[in-house]
Amino acid sequence: MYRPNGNPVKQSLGVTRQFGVCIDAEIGDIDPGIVWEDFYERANTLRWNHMLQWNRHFMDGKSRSPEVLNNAVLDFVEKTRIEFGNVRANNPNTVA
Amino acid sequence: MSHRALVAVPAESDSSKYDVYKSRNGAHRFKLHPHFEALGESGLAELQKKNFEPPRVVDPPEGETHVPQSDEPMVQKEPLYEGVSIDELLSETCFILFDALYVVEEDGVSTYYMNWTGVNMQSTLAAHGTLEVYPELGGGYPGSKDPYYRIEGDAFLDLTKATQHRPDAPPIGYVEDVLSKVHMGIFRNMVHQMGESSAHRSSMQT
Repeated sequence: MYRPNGNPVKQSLGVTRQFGVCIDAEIGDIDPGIVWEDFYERANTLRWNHMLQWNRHFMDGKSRSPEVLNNAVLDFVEKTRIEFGNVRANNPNTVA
Repeated sequence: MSHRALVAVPAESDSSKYDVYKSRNGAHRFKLHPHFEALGESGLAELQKKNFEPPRVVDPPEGETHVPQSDEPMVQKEPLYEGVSIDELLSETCFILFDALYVVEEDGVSTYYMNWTGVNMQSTLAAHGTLEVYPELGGGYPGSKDPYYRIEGDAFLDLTKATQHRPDAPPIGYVEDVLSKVHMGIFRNMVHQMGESSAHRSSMQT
């Protein structure tokens, strides 16, 4: 079982529930359903891989300080920006 | 699983601000985009009269999950927020609950995909969940046959540690690909089963 820094698991869901990135779908003349399916799969894959990377990082006993968690969010924003281009985050410090 | 949307329309009192409404399944396939693209903000009233359309897979009716009634409108009549800026809206919004944001203007709409994040998904699954992977068709359901794989504990952080129960199981890499692409609703539903009341807690004890 994953025990951050050797302590009993007390999962914080706050970050998971609170943060996110708005991606401009720029649908134009394309079928919205096609854009949706494309975004849905790419965003899900990006999120899974991002969280896996950071969970493994923490599993190695690395710090889960607020600064580190914020870096994880910033990393997600940057990955999303690279993958999708036009993004807008809900953290004022990360607004594109 | 439903795909909720937020619909922001210019506020009557201040056109630089927005009133924001919830749409139960309005994000799926960006279904509201063509409507607002054609009608702009005048399209809101029509959607508030139109009946809700169920998601592809109906949310399980247990726990705190809200089961929509058949007469629930496509876009709810009562706003979630009134007179807020988009920045204020995004700061207040719990991204895991919504998949799309429609920012409606007089003559069109800007449509956004809302991509939630966090750093706790796999570790939360490791702490609370067991996932069994079955054949897509005909292979049965839990209790009827052995699953291809059982994933629990640390295996969520390294799927090569998943327990294989059948020799005909597909490669675990394929399972991970499917899981990551189309089954993020597992985690979202788990959050819902924990209850809306926990949605704004900063932490939760196991």
